Amino acid sequence: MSVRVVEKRIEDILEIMRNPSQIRNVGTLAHVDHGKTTTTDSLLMGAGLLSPKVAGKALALDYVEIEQIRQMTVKAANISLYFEYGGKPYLINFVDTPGHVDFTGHVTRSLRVMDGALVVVDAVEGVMTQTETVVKQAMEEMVRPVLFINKIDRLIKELRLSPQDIGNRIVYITKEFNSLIDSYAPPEFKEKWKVSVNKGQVAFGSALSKWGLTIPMMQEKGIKFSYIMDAYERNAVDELAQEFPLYRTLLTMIIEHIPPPDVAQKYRVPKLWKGDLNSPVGKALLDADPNGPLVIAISKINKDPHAGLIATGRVFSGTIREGDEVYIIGQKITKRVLQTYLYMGPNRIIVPEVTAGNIVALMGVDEARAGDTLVATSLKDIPPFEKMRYVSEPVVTVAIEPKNPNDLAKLVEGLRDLVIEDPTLSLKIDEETGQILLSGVGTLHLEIATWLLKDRTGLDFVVSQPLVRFRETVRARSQVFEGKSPNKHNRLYISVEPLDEESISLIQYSEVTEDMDPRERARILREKANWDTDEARGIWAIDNQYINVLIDKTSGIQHLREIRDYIVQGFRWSMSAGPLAQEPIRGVKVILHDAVVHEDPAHRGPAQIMPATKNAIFASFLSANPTLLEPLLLIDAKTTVDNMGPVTSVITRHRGRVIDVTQTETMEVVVKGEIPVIESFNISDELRSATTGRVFWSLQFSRWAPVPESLRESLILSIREKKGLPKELPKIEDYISTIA
Amino acid sequence: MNGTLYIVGIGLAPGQITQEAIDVLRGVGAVFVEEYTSMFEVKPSEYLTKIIGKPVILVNRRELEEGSGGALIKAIKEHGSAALVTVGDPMLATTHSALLVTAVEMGFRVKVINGISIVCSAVSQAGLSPYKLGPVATVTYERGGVLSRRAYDTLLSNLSNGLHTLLLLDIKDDGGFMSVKEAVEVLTRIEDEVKLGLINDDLAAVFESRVGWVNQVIKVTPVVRPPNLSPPSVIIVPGLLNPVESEFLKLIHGADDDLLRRHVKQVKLFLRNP
Repeated sequence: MSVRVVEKRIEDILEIMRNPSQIRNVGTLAHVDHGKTTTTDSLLMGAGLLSPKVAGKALALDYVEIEQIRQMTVKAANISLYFEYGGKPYLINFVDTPGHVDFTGHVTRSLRVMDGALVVVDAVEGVMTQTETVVKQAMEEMVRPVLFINKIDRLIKELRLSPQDIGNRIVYITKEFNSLIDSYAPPEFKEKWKVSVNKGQVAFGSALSKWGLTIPMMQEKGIKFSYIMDAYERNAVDELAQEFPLYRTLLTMIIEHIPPPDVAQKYRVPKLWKGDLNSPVGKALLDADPNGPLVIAISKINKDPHAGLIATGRVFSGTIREGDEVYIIGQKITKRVLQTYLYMGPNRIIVPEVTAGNIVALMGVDEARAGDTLVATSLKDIPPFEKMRYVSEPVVTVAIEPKNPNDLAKLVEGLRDLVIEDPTLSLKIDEETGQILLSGVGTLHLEIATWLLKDRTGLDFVVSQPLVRFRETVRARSQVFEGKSPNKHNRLYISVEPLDEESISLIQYSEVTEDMDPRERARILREKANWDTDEARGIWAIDNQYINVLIDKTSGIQHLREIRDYIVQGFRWSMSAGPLAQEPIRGVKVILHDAVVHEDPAHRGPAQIMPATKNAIFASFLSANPTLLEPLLLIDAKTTVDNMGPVTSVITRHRGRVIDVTQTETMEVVVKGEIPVIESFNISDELRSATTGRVFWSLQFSRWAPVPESLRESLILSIREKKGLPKELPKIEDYISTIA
Repeated sequence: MNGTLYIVGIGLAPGQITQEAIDVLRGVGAVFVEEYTSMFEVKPSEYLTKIIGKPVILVNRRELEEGSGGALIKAIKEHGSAALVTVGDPMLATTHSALLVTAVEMGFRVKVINGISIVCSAVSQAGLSPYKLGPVATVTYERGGVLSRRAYDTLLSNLSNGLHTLLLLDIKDDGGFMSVKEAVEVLTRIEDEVKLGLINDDLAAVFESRVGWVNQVIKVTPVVRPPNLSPPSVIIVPGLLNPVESEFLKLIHGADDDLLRRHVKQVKLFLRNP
């Protein structure tokens, strides 16, 4: 198959870009297998591949093979489509959003640069868990949705619904969808953002057969659902695709109902950026002013084999030009932009400048990471965009070992690049053993990551069986324990206690962060999580990776200022691998009560203070009813009524529990439940065989939960054994100095 | 429990070891030597073996600190006594004093055998009055992103009382010694931050290399212009100088008369109660 090439002069594209009303920034969101990729492909194939026209040069290619495009789109961070509507040209930027729920971290980052979302829902399956997850995330980022009900052909061919039932099904899914909007939309948009079938905010069709319609279109043409069924019966679906091409229907819907960047920024900026809206930069952000000061939000980092690291993001204000100096807030460095690119189709082409409201790719800002804010060097003091929220956590780990030990350095370099591009991956290299551990949000996530690694580096390596990550936590408040430095001249007095759920979620969702204004942070913790004022003001460090807090409750200790950073480093070191089984610590409040510090800096360096911190934390930890937390998955299975029993029993057999069972209008049953990740590796096969294949299900991260008391000890010991640690439970005495 | 732990200093160079130390080491059950706190003119373990006529056991920092001297305690239990030998004076090394306390807590007798320390030697060799020596501090490398200001603060506080400051120099994690040049860089870096005008061309310093060794070198120059010296070295920044101290620095160490005059003027700028 091949796709048409639409050639445009770069100047013409730049001209469109200067006019925000002709720009739309959108992305496709969907539950897995609901047809996100097919929809995007169908749009690209319909609208054509936008390509730069070179003056005086004959057209090299009229069509590009679809496989070639597939390869490009896999790696692209953005695809720009050209579409004429109402006599005007439009540039519609499709921001890449990954398909599998394992990657919701990516979705979140992509949402930042989108104003609208095309939500794809399978006509048979209806709204599923991940539909809910992505809509919720879109609402948090103030991204306005429109709905595409895909796979209408299944209603006709598989379910053999009547024309009236098809209409009802569309209305029903729209209702389900709107109830999500009702639950998650910001109050001021709850009504406004609900999609209406009659206003043409809901399209339906088949991405595979490339046709799509809306109710207003049907009314205009005077056709009924029987017309569609007739086409299927006559085996003339191609005619439908000719008459009502999906890309035209969807792009029209997007242009009509998704706001252009300058309109969207008026309500998105106040929510996503906490600076002064009346300042010049605030006003420029609200207006997407191309003449305002430069502000760019970075959504994705790709490694290009030739150009190096490429940062893709949206210009929210100002104009970025090649050679500009930009300041990366967060990384606190200034860099020169070596090249500015624009996406034409899935390709990057060099352009001299990109104006506010558009998506840009930048070379030269290697230190920037997804989620960073880039600004003009004169704006160093403005706050960055709000931090993005990640719902998924890396809970599965594999060990990676090069077949040839000489490849170790190259392999590590390749892995580091992967982690830059995908921050939901986490890489840990044991400095003593040289063991490489890669953690991801699920087994599929890691499979893709290791596949990419092989593809890029060409190295041979062995990937271990996936291991589930655990967390360590405490369930009681400890006494104050003394931690001694190795030279015994420094003493730290520390206790630990559990963090409450509210504080955990404030940290996890970055509502309180380490670098925010301490007074503001103290206010939030006091008001939302009932913190004591002194404690809230005494926060020294917030570990937002594993969710722990370090608090200083001392007063008037000499030399404490000079060892503060070492205590913080010791705290982070302790949190990254706890005493039970060297799994990260989660949900713990560490309190420093008192300290004795040696006068001379040679005797109170990090080599002394970090172990002292760790000793005190671990002794306290072990006395505070410690346990392991295991990751639980939310399972959502849709099946027939008679298969409800078998599905429930698969869940319960794997230490799972059923949370809710509901019946849909189509007489199906939706079973919602939770099962531990460690029990989930064979669940697909079991579900399929239990229901003879009559089940749709999805799994996504739910929460961390304490392991059952009866399994606690054996789990700790088995993790310790796998890690080569002594196969015995750790004791408090191990961390209080005694003589051998 | 019976048994004795000796903590023995052997001075800075062969020839400085006391008769008391030799007697103890010859009679003790086991001799442990650590070589990480400073440098001896020759390898201490080899030197000791020759002097006391029996093998010695080398211990490293990790064994002493993390193992809390378990090997020593075991040796006392086995042989009735053990000695831990250190270069200079034992109580300058923090781990050793902590070890004494642990041993006492465990019911052992402990005894400190003094050795000639760098603190006494450096001040004496410079010809400065020990009555005017203020608190001692180590100039340390930046570690874990933190550059300690302790050395600068100690210097400032000593000078504001007209006192001399002995600055010891850091040891790298790999065992290398900080040079006087590096130490001055650290002080200058802090000066650049605090901008008090303390570290400049008018402030004199006594730079001492290999004190007590046969190739000992002592030079008096402006603090910002340190000479090239071999490690281990120390720096003394004098406070106010009495006539004898001035004469000593000039006649013995060749200090420049004008420099000393400027130095005293500079110190007076920082005196708390002139």
